[in-house]
Amino acid sequence: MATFNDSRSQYLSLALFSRQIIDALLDLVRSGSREKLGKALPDAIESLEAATDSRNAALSPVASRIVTSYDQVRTIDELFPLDDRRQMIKTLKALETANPNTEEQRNGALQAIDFFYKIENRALRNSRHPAPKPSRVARGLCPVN
Amino acid sequence: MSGELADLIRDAASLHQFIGSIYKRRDEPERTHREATVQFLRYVRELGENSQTFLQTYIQRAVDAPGDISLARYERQGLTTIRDFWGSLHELVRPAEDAHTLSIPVAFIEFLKRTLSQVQGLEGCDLAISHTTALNYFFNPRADLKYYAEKYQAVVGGSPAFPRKLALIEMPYSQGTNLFMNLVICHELGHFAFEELGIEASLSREIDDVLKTLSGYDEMSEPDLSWCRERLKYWSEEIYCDRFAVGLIGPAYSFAYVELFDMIGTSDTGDVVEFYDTHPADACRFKEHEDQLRSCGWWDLLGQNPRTSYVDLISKLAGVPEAEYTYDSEEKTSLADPVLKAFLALKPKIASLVRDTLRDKMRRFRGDADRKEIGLVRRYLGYGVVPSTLVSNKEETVPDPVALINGAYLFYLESLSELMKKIAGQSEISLSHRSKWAERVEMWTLKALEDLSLLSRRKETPNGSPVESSNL
Repeated sequence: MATFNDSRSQYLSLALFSRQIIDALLDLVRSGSREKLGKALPDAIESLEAATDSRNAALSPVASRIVTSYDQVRTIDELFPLDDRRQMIKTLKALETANPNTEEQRNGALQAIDFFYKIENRALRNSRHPAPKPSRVARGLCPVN
Repeated sequence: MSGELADLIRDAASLHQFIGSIYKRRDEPERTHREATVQFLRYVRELGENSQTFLQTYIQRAVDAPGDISLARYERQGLTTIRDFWGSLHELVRPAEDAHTLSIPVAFIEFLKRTLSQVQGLEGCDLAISHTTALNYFFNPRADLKYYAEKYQAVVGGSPAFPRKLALIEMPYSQGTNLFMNLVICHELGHFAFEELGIEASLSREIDDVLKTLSGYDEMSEPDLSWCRERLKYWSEEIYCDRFAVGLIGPAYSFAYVELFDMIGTSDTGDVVEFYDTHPADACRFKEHEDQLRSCGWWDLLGQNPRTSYVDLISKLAGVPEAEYTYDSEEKTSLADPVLKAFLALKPKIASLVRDTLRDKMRRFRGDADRKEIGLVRRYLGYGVVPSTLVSNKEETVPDPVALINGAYLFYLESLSELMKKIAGQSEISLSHRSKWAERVEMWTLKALEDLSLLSRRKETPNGSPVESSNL
């Protein structure tokens, strides 16, 4: 009963999470502004680390939210192999500090935008068309959304 | 104007209109809502107004500085995410508006608010009730609306923060004036406490510790690991909420659960030992109910009420050996057994999480005091009298609300016919007669709760003299 709504909720969370970092990176590319990046980047790095190697990640509340969401982890896993995720973590970490080589910084930001754009896109798609779930229905009090 | 820009303006206008259609209130002056609902609807309206302003600014910027066209598609998808966010709010607004004060059990909700506010960390909380067409109760959302709201704030600057300590609870629209079935809301309050007090963070450490004991842990893929964590988190949270509800109002919660799911009718099937993706088996849940009832002392009372089959049912389900629990997953067949074993290893820790949450607010059985009040409540109801003030040996007292609720529920389960025998023309075997008097019992109990609420409010009035119980 709650399964469909729960999945939708997980996908919407993932889309919003991706949009936050995309917007921050777009600001960096367009105007060099790092204002939104200060908050969005650490969350993105931590969440991606958690979804890539959760055994060794420090599980803060933000990371815990990712690693206990099967739909979110599976979505990221389906889109990007481990190596791509690890490479993106490096790219994001490099963006944490301002790079005097603006072209290099811009390229890194564009790669990251494209990476999270694909996650947001897949999350939105899955949110509207969740994968079929096992037919057994939960008896239960509780969570929707 | 370029074609792309014209398309963008059209899409933004469509979203602008969609948002307005959700937050604009219908003109229904005859409806009044509890403050928590008003607060929630106000939040949605302010969020909507801010989002519409944001969209206008967004379009203005696109007109003034078209910028790098290669970035446009990255930006455009953001509108879809905003639309989906509003799509999720769309499901919440009308049901909240429908749950006006004449269609919800206000006295009971106020009682829950007062009780919950006494739990450390939940001071000042409130419950925004909405209706659902499902015959079930929901805590809405599972931490997500707050999370969305935070992310949404980051995406749509200037958005208001989600109201603090506000629990959004859905109840079946048909149960607006009833009491007993609505006791299940206490379970949903467990979800609220779980979320608000950050229980998930401490539980996630325990979950990871127990997962490490599984063979093959080191080789598990990230999706497999997260799937196991999710099962353990869902099941643990459900057990936490059941124990929380029993800790809040005692056995009445277990009775309401039995009634809502007609457990009497289904307890002989194999389903009772079956775990589901998001919920533990009923046998497992009732084992925890019984354990919580025993640890709070309520079992002493239940043992004295052999006339209700509900108590036997709880015992019977609680007695099913854990070795008989099953879980079959079509999604991760090979992980189903190991994750169930991991859960059984984790389960004993949940009781202490509930103890730590409720502390001295855990409603334990008070022995003779509860026996006396419950007995009097039942006696009063047996004469069709609202049990707000109880007289015994020429002394007037007011019942404790939890004793009142449990006394009333036990009366309904065991003694309704005693009341009906006293009323001319009422047949015990007439379902319509029985149904009518059951409704009355719930109504009288809600009236008594309302009276107790008035008393407690007047007692809290600063500079006012305490009200004597005889004034009620």
